[in-house]
Amino acid sequence: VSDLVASPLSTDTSPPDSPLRRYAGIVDDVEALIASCSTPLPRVVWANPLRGDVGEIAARVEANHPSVERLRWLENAWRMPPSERPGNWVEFKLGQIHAQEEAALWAVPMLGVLPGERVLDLCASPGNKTAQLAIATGNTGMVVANERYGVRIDALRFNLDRLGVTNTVVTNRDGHGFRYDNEPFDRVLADVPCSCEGTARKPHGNRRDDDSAWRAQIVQVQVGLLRSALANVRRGGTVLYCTCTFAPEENEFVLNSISTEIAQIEPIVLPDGLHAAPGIPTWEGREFRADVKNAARIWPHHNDTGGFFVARLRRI
Amino acid sequence: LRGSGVFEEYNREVAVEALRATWGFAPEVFDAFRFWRRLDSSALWIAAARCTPPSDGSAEAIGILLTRDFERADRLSTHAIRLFGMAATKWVVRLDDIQAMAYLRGVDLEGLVGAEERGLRIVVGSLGPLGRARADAGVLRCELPRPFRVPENRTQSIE
Repeated sequence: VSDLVASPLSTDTSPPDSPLRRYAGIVDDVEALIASCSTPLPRVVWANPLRGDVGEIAARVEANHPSVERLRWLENAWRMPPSERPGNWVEFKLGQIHAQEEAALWAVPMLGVLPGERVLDLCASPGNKTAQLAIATGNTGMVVANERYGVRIDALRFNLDRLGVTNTVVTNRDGHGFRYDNEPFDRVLADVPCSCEGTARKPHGNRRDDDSAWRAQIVQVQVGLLRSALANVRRGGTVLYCTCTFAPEENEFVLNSISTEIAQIEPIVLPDGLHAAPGIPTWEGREFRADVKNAARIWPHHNDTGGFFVARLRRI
Repeated sequence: LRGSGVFEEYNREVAVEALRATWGFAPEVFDAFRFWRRLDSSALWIAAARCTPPSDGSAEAIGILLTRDFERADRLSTHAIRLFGMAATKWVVRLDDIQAMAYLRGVDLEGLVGAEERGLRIVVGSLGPLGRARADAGVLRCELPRPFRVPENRTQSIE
């Protein structure tokens, strides 16, 4: 981490018309990426099996909202134009559907959660992925939803309550050094804070561009959170590391900070119809551990989504 | 960080009996759940049986809020009503789809409760339990929290 803090983040000298040009060497078509990031993001909702029969919910959504179209790669989930406001729909108010960015929606299934398991979501708010985890456990095991920032806990609790999640404990602690009665978890999700480049298409995206000092700091936070996630998972258990940014400093570099004797990065099998690029082996002269290639990076122009990065680590 | 909360398991028999006596819930409805009381408030929570709060008192919430006052089983939260309301057998008001849509918009409804009736009611529609209302001199007053209400300008049907 100290190397990174001391060094500039990029040697890219291209005109500053888009900070995304720094990725020209790792993306297939940087112009398509930039063009995609300047368009509004389609909205996506999925049916919540905790609030009724998903077939009936699906029939109602499709009958009441003709603008929706089914996602190619996920059942009982729909995409719609950015102008739609599904948060005002009756189905949403009743918790029968939930809105979530498509690029983030596929990550949780990669964790492989089984019914009845103990799962930790280290950075949980606003609770979209926490709800997915709870559904994967069959609402029967235990999901610990930790959120460092107290002001974000109300949103987390509101979403979990609205969706009918009953197997979650919400905690308000720093993810670094997190422990839960010294009992390890079967799975841990580390969806860490990041520079949010992948949210550029959202109306209120949190993207931070050209802020090298901030990025150097956040990388240290990310490394600490991934280490904490690995400390909380049982041997043989899995950790999913996610960001909604493209930057290798916040992705491959963070993975590279973990010893190969602690965890292996496992291949991810993508759902049919979803396209992702593998993790990159080098960035700006820095070589990463070989298994970062098993990570997956979603570029917005490949699927008409936001951006996302996922790696699944198995604790040794 | 916010103040921490210590949760203590609440007497199951007491909770289940209060819910049975007030709303007519069969005790089996709660077989897969445990009850928890947050000690720095009066709130009573209900959570899946395998959920346990951390021993260091750092939990903010466990499962869902059942009632803000453990001594008032009649004051079920909207979340609890949405989860268990279909199993209630007492003080339930069933709405048709037009009435349900009006309720979801926060409208008070007349003609559904008697002029002498007072007290809280579970409101159920064709899509399931919708929330809580108060019978008040012949009017069913909507107690749906604002974030759960459907905006007025929506033309959507509930069917």
